[in-house]
Formats: sequence, structure tokens, C-alpha cells
Amino acid sequence: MERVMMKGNEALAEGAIRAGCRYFFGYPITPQNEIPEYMARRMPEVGGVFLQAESEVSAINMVYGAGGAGARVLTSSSSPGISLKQEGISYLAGAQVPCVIVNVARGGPGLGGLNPSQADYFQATKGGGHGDYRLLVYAPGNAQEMVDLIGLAFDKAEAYRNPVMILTDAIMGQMMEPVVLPPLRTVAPDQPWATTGKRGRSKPNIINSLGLVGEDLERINRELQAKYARMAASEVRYEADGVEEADLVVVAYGTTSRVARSAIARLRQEKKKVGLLRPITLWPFPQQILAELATAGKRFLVVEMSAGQLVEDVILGVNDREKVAFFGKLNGTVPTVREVYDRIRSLLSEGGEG
Amino acid sequence: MEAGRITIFTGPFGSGKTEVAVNYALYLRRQGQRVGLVDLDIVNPYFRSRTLTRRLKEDGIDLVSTSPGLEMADLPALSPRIFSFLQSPDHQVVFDVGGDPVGARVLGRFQPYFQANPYQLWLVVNPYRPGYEDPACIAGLAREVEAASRLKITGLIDNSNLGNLTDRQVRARGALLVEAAAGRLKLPVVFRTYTDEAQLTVEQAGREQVFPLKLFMLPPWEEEENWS
Repeated sequence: MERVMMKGNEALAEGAIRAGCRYFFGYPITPQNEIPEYMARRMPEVGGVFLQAESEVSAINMVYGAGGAGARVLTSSSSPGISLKQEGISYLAGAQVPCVIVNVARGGPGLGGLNPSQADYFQATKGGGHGDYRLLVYAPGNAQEMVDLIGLAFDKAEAYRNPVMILTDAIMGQMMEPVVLPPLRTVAPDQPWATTGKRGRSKPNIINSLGLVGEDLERINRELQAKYARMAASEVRYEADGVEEADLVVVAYGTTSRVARSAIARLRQEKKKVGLLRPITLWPFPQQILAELATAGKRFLVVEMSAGQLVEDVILGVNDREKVAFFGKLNGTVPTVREVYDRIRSLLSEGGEG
Repeated sequence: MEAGRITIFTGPFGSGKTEVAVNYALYLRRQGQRVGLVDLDIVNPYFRSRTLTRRLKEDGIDLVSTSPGLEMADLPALSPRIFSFLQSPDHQVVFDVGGDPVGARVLGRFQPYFQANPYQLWLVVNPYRPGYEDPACIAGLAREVEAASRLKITGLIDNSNLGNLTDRQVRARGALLVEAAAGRLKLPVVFRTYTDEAQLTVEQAGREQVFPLKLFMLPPWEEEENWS
């Protein structure tokens, strides 16, 4: 296998193409511009479609159309642009249209700034649009995972007929790492539910999120909830590094997991027992392992670039606020390795392990 | 390896121009030169040399990019101070240009100075970047950069690397590809970069022009920390 050096954003774009995605609809915004830039050049080479829409709202509705016809389709944006797409995402979830949405997050709220942020966690995992719906949300931890998880995202989107989100940030999108690319897949858009003509069937396929009659909407929502329960039961992914023997488990994803890992490596040289739990799916969230570690008497430190979002899910999983400490940075700076190291050291000494 | 007092680093997006330009500015400074570093990257607001302004100041290097307060903006704004470097005959001026022909286009703005002063325009190449493993593609990009900047490339910089996975084999294979591109363009390979001597073959360490790189554009989790 040949290795190449790729930026996170490029790895997402090429990973999507390798996974058989042949439709991209988007609108420019920093820090994800490498994705449309890459797609504009690459899609014609593989017989695909790149289209720069007139707005994010337009792009997400193009995704609805292509996804409804059974095609593997991608859109990408960054925080303010993802907010604009929320109405469309709710419709996609309601109509059960598979697609992949990438959020290379930047600082908010509002226009915010161009620095990396993890403050879109609630929006991604708790439903940024209206209604009772869930996205499957992946948080890659390196450039290779960008390639691997976006490929998986297309497969899962189709398997569950559900939108899947990749939540990453400006640093992960911009940093460069060696990656191995999988072979190019070509996936024929051939779904029994897709709106591609009746083809001999007596009833037409309909893609819709409307349920005007009360009982209809009740039934639709029950079906959706049953599907989300199946996803929650089988799609949880995480990386657990040294958590069994740890006194303290750091919980972090994406950029902050990388910083935490560097801090933990140094602490382990000092014979401190510190583990890392890195959620790879942010929804469904790895509650079970957290509950087990909490029962085993571990304490936890959540490190994230927000005022405290991931920490709420960790508290739910641990089910004991006293065991969960929090270290957050607010939408401008990334915590340094030293800061995380110091925080872990002081928590260990408070607990008598230092 | 230098003739003129203006050195311009250009090349494909993500080829390592900024690392090479910053290291080259520091190298000139160590030779006792007055050095001005111009961050001309108006393509992408991340991992630009302007993030090192304070650190380079300590080393005696003036860095000029955009107006103060706009360093983290994605605005194509240039500082008038760039001209003060170009007009100062005792300054070595190093240009760190944005990626691809689109990044090189802004050089046209300074055309009269490049005509009046001897310059070297060096194309930084990493053949492990997708699309540039083929010497013909590197040569094609070189022509596009020349057309966009209205300047002639005078040499190639071999910055072959696979990040933390760079070893002697990776460097040796990269060197052949960059050599082939240089042959097509009838240009010299000015120097080959390395971050660790273990990456060099005996011949490279002995005969060829090699240039040590200290990496500055690191992600937050690899940045040097003060552990005292």
C-alpha cells in the first residue's frame, strides 16, 4: 500500500470518493474549503458531480434529492454553514434519506472565528434541527480515520437510511499526516426504496417527512425511535487506552484527544496510572464502558474545546457528578499538553495517587 | 546557494513552503544577515509563518504579513511594510508564498522589484503529496506557477517526506522523483531537506547539498512544552 501525506480535509474528500461517493453539493466556508476545492478537481475524474450551490440551504436540499434517488452524496461545511443546513438535516432524518454531512467546526457562536472548536457537539448529537431525530456522529482522531470513517459513514447511512455526520475541527482538517487509501469503490445507486421510477412495481416509492394525520406521525416516530435504538445497540465505537489499570480516565475526542494522549504519555513515564477513553461515535455515545469504569472506582477528566458539552454525556454515563472533572477551552485556543498534564497531576494528588 | 537578496519559496499547496522558508530565514540570520520574512500566504489561514512572529522576533527576524489584528483572518490583505524590506538594499528578503498557482499570483504585485533585483524563485516539492508523485505533474505545476507569478523558477527544493514516518528509504525514493522533475525542467535541485540525520544516505550526507529543518508548524499536541 502506498502512503501519501494528506491534510485532514483532503483525506475526507478522497475517502468519500474511494467509498463510492459521486455527488458533492456545498458552499465555501473556512476551514473546510479544501474539501470543495478537492472535489471540484477530483469529481470530474471519476465521472462524478461537483456543484457549488448558491447557499448552504440549497446544497443540503440538493443532498435530499440525490440521496432520495439512492446515490452516495456528501456535503461539507463549517459551524455557521452547518447551522444553515439544520432544517434540511431534520427533513433528511424525517424522510430517512441516507447522506453524509461533514462539519469542520470553527469557533462560535455567530460568525465566531476561524480557530478550532468543539462547541458544535450539542448541535451534532442532540439534534440541531427540529423534531425527535438522531444522526450517527463520527469524530475522527487522525487523518487515517478521516479516510476510514467517512467510508464507514456511507455504508452506515445506507444501512440505516439515516444521515451520518462527521464532526471534526479546523486543526484536524488542516493538519497533515501520512495515510493509506483504500481502493476506489464504485457503488451503483440501487435502492429498493429510492425514487427512481416504478420499474414494474404497482406503488410508487415516496420520499417524504410529512405526517399530517396524528396517528401517522406517531407511527413514523415510533419507527424512527426503533431504528435509533438499533443504532445505539450496534454502532458504538470508542478507543480505550490503559483504562483498566488507570486511577484517572481522560475522556476526549478529536483534537483534544491528541493533546490528552501527549500529556498521558508523559505521565506514564512518571509511572502515573492514567487512561484515555476516546469516543469515536459521539452518537451513539459509549455510555456502557463509562458505567463499567465508574463502577470499578475510576475518576474522570473531560477535556474539550467548549464550555462543557461532551461532559454532560460523560456525567450521564458515569452517573456520579462527583467523579467527573472538566477542563474546557472556549473557542479560540487549543489546550496545551502542559495544561492538560498539570490538570491531571493536580487531580491525581487530590485523590491521593500523586 | 544564494545569489540575489530576494528568495521566494513557492510550490504546491501543502508541500512545506512555510517550514522551509522559516528555516531558511533563520539560516540567513545565523550568517549575520539582516532578514525580513514576508508571509504572502493569502490562500489559507492555518499553519502560516505569521503564527511565529514573536518567536522569530527573538531571533532577530522581522516578519511581515497583514495589518495587525488580522493575522487570523482569511483576508487577501498585504502590509505596506513589505515594500520597506524590498527597498532596503541591506535586507535579505524571504518570501513565503501561498500554495499552487493561485497563491503565486500575488507575486505579480511586486514585479518591478524582482526585475530590479536579482532573485531566486524556488519550488518546494514533496512528491508524497497526492498528485505530485509524477515528475510530469511537478513540471506542469512549475509552469503554471511561472505563468501566474510572471517570474522564472530558478531551482527545486526537495522536501520529500511522510511526516513522522520519514526514513532513509522514503527520502531516497523522493529524491529520485524530484531529480526527475528537475531534469524535465532543466533546473537544479538547490537542496534536500531533512529533519533527522538518519534520513540521509551516505552519499547525501557526504556530497549533496542538504539542509536541516527544525519543524515549527506543528499541531498543538506535538508542540514543545516548557516542563521546568
